[in-house]
Amino acid sequence: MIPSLEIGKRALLASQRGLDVTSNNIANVNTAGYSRQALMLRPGETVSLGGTMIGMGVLTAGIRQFRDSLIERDWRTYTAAQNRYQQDATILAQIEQALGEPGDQTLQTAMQRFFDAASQLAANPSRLSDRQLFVARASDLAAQFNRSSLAIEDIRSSTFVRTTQDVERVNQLLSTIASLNRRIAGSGNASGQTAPSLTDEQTQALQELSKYLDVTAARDDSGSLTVSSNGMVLVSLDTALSLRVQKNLDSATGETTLAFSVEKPDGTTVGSLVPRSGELASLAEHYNITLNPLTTSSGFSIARELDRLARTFADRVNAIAAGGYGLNDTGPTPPARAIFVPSSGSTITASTISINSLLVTDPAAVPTSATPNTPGNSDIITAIAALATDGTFLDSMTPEGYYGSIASRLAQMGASTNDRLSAAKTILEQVNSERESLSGVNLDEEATNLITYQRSFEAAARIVTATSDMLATVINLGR
Amino acid sequence: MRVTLQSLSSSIQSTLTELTARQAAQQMRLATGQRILHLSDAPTDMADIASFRSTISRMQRYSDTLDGALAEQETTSTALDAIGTTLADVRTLGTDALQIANQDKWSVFAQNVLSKIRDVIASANATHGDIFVFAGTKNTASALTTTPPEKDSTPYELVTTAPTPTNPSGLQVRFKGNTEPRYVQTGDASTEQVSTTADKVFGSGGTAVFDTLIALYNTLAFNADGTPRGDGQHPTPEQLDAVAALVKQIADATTVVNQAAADVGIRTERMTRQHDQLAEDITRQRDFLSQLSDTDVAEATMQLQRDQIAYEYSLKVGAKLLSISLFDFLQ
Repeated sequence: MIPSLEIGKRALLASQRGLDVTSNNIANVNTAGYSRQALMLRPGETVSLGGTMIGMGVLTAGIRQFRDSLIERDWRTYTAAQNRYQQDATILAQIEQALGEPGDQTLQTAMQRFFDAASQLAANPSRLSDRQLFVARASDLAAQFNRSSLAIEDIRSSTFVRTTQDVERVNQLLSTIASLNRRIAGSGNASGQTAPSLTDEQTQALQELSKYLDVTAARDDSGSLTVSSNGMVLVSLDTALSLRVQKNLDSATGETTLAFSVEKPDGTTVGSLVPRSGELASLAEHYNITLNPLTTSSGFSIARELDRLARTFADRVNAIAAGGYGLNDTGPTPPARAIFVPSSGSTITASTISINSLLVTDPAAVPTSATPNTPGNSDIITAIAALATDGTFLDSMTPEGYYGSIASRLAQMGASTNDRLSAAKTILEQVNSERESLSGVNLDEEATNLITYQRSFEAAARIVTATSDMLATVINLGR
Repeated sequence: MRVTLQSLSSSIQSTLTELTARQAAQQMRLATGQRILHLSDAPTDMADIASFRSTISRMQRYSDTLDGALAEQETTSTALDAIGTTLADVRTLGTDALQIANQDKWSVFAQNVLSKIRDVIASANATHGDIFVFAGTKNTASALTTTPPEKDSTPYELVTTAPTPTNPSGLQVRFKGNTEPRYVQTGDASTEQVSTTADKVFGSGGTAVFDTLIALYNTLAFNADGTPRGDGQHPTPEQLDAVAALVKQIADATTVVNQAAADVGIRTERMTRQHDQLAEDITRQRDFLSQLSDTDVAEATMQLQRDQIAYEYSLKVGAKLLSISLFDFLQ
């Protein structure tokens, strides 16, 4: 009867462990990254009692975590993709705002008003009020270019700040994963099992890391996680490398770009990393191309396009104005007076374009006439007004057409990003659902388990009671 | 498939977020009247909208230019009418002066002619805003340079120079403007002359008519020997012939002025037609633009209603799903 007592004890213990695991599952029902656990049982050893082979009850074989590495890989992949497209969408929305699109205070409107004023002045070239209006509109246009350019430069600066903050967080996460590797390696029990909560914590860190970078992870037999990105190993065993944001200046062109170098804990650089997905990939791409006025990339750069438009606009207008006379110009040769000048340096860009201050103080100086002392002659200002419909202005487009193509390109990029973001979100939801289906806690299931273990505990206790009663009967036989 | 509390809650959360965003977007559309809130909402439409806006702006520019040009034509037309009427008056004076009964009153006729010359000059100096309509491209006071005996900054000025046998009064009308035409852009590839040049109204150099008028005045005001004509002094037969010839020239000049007025009328009619056409085109383009860029209020309201209903039901379903589990039924 002694074996029965042992069997009952084992059953009681197994039921208690089962209750513990179930309670832990219920307690972590809202814990992010938690993978549900289940108690693994195995039958006890078989012993021969009086020639009969008897099983010795139940033993706990360990705790199983429900986790699928393929699902988790997909989860990381689409988390990185979603965050990349989300960041793309955010930056593109900021660019839209910088350009005032879609709305009535855009560069297109400013150009229209400039040409309206030029046209009005062409009809009345000697009228001072129309000259003042033209100067005001030209000034507004320059200011609109300046505002848009400044706003885009601000976005670029904040992109850099965001990148450094992200890299700081990435380094913390890499360090956490390496530290957890060390703890996991030290937490193994005799049967080689590691602490499930540490693995969950590490998975959670890895999951957050994939928001910033495209990462791949492989767990070895000891439970250590090796993390790499685009072929560069970032965490191995208990060693974490760190990322550093580098701002590279091309001294020949003045172009600044950002790159990520990978460093050992002692500060030596082991290589560079080019993220292919995640927030950092988006931030780097927009900093280096979309928002970079000096990029040589064939990709779309809003800053470069605005500079090009501003420069061409000023050059074309100034070239015509150079042959014109103001109201009070009587000399035989035109004064070659520019309408747009750079506010600093010698090159006109969207940030430096400004109105010639002479015209602001003396609107009569606006060159409108092709011949001296003929205030009614409007050949020059008419030619300037005609630029509005010049189909060869820039890339075989009118000025407004060219700006429209920039806005259209932005719109296409935005729509494409939104589509990708939507697709990534949908897939991520599916993957998340699959992951939850496997690893998530179902309260109904846990409630059932709770009853099951409760009942088995009661039954096991009954075994002990029954055996005890039988033993008492045996002990009292001789009395 | 196992359904967990997390998957239930995240699914409900994402549905609610999506529906809230959709409601916010519809409300924004209704509040602003704009169908497109972001460039990415409709990339193709954005390109069309930009194109429509550009076209409308350009057409509006041409329309405004035509407005100004039409106003100037009106001023020009009024001035030409006045000039034509005055020249007709002068011709009548000349014809009357040839009457035998009036041949002893030429000095009176001469004063009347001089007065009419001044009237023609006043009309020739007609202004539209701050510009002289018959002064070509030198059409502002500041652009007109005066050389003695000229005194004022008007394009036409009657001055007195030294008398000569052919011009015993020494009167002369000086033209300080030029005969360059002025044009305005009325379409992408069309321009319209907005000014009526002095030579088209007053003959060669913009002064021929005045030379004729002064010659008439001189003939009426002076005897053949160049002395001022007194009351009762009769003209010579040569002077009678000269006045008859000058009256004929003035009649011709009147025809030229009337022709110029007719040209202005034709131009005005052409511009008015173009202006009306532009107004129609602008209305049509605005309609296209509105279809693309403005909110369809009925559609947006219905969509908002649908989203609100979906949101309310999602909330109800979510609340129900998340509020019960097996634990609620365990004793």
